[in-house]
Amino acid sequence: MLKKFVFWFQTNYNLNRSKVLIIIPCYNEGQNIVPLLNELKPLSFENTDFTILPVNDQSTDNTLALLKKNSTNFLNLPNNLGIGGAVQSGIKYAERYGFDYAIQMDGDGQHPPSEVPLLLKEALHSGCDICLGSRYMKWEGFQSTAMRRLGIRVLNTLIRLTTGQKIYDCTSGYRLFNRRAINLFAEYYPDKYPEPEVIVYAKLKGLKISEVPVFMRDREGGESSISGLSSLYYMIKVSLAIAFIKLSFVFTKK
Amino acid sequence: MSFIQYISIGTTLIFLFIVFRLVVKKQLREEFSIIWILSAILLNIIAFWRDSIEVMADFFGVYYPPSILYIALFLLIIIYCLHMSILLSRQRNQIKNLSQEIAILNEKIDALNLKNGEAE
Repeated sequence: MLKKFVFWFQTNYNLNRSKVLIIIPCYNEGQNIVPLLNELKPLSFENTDFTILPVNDQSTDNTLALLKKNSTNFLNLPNNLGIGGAVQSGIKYAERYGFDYAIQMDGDGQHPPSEVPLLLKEALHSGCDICLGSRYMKWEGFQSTAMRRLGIRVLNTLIRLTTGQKIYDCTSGYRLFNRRAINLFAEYYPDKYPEPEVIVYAKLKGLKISEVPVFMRDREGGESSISGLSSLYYMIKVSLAIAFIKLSFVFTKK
Repeated sequence: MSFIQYISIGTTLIFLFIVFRLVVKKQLREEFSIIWILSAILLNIIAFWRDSIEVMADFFGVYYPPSILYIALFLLIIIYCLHMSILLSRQRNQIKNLSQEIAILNEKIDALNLKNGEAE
């Protein structure tokens, strides 16, 4: 009887409802952003309020105009900060307005909003601080090219060697942060190609990371930011960053 | 004094003058001007007192005296470049934080305006 009353009370009076912020970093996503926002509208999960926050990172196309028309709240960065800075501004927003969870989702439509409940469920059940959406746990959906998978494998191994954390898809930009992770990343978040670096940093800071299989689509429009020579640069930059973070923890721990 | 000494004294004095002028016109901050003033004074000393290089070379046991000048200048410039890179990194971080702050505050202003029923 009491239990029933508590349940009724909670569902009707918004107590214990968790606030979730969905951060969508956008750089020239004019072709993809409106369908994505429309897809996000019907999103719902038990006892959860969603706020959708696209972050316009000085796009040179009509992204800003589309956001003004289609989105109630969004961030418009005055300088181009790159994906890391864009995501961090969302995280700072989440920290300031007391969100319980922040979910990062790419603006190019590769990450279907229907997978958001999967991430939330995992976070609620396992109590992890960061939950990654991984393409490579089940071999379903968009899998990227062989070359890229190899690169991701190398980075996964590097992360396992430095932190002992087994990761299937360290480059996935589909991830959930809880309050603890939000507080940590409001302080520091890597600038360029942040995804693998964030995992190492969080793990060494003692955060719990888990991974769930999600379905990803091929991009609907626009081009990947990493191709050709820049993929080599990506590998070098990310490996170096991981090595430096590991080093900094080796020196400060003792 | 030889002709080359007049030329080098002249150039270092002009350099010193330019640095002072930049500081006075607020185009160069004082803290950055210190190293330039010091190096100009040092070059001036070397120009006045030619044998100083030989004295130093003798002291350090350098066989070819002018090379000590090159290596000293080279090291100085490298260290200064590193210093500049550190400053740049710090400023980049500050710009990033400011940009994020501006974006969050702008969002807040828009939300408040909307609440008060003001059109943009």
